[in-house]
Amino acid sequence: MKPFTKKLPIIIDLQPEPQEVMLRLPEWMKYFFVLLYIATLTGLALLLQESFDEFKLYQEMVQARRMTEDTVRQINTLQSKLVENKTIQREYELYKMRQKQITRPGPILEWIPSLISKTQRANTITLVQTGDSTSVRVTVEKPITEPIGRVSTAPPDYLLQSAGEETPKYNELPKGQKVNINNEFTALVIQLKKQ
Amino acid sequence: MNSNTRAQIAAILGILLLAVITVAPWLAASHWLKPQELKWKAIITHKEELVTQMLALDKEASSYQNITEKKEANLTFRRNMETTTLDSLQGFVNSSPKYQVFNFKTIQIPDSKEVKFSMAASYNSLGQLLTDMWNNFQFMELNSMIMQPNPNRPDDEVITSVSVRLP
Repeated sequence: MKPFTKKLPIIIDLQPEPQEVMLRLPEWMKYFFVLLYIATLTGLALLLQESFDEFKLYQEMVQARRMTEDTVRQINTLQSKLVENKTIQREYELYKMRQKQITRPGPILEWIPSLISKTQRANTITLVQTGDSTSVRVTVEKPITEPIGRVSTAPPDYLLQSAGEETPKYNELPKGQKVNINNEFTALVIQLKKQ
Repeated sequence: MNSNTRAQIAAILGILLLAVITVAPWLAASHWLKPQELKWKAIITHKEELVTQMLALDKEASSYQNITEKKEANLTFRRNMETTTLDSLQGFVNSSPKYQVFNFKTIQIPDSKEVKFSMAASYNSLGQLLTDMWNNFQFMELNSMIMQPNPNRPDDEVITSVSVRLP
């Protein structure tokens, strides 16, 4: 092996070290640097805290966006459910009201026999319904000596408005039936109002 | 300008640069992040309002009781109204052998929902028929009813004329 014969170049320092200190800062700047250092560190800590809060807020915002989508969907579902419930409830109340308003002859027919005593005989019963008022007319054959029964009670769900006696009409009398000589025909006229 | 002055200026500039670097994030936060933060807070507030609205809706929707049963009842009511026709009335009276009804006649008043029907029946049969009829056709309205003993059999049968209004 050939021995290394090349010499290293000689570095000549053209700019010699200065004899006197180049940077001579005022005395107060030392304290200024310390203050600046402390301020920077405090600033960094505050900045970290701010960043952390900001990140938390960002996360909350992302979560809120996701929840908003879900909530809007749920609100739509609930609104349609509410509308449906309201419709069902309204229809139900209308049906119930209508059902309640419709007059059934049952209560009146059950009540009519209480108007006729054992010595009387009912012939024609007429029931006429107009709106919420009902007129009942009962033609009875009764002994001449017996007064007409006093109507004091009304059927359930009805109010008694008036009650009186009238002469029966021709078509209310029994066809071809002869009346007992001690008896007479009379008509009991009652006005009822539905409660 | 000697080298010391230059060095002092360089040091001050360095300090200023450091100060700018320190303040830069604050400037960024106040100029860019704060408006963003306002938007995010608005999104969060909006979400909370929606949640409140949803809870109120849920409460209101839940306040309606027995909706399933009411829905079924409505269907029954509707079906009852739809099936209350003259044909079904006639079928009801004619098809059941338990009502001993004679001379059953029906008349529908033209262009109206009013129907008149008359029949002769025994007292018990008539009571049963009327009760069952009003239970079956719940939306049939009674206009008038006239009852008279059958002249041929006054003690057993009654002649009835009923005028009703179909739903």
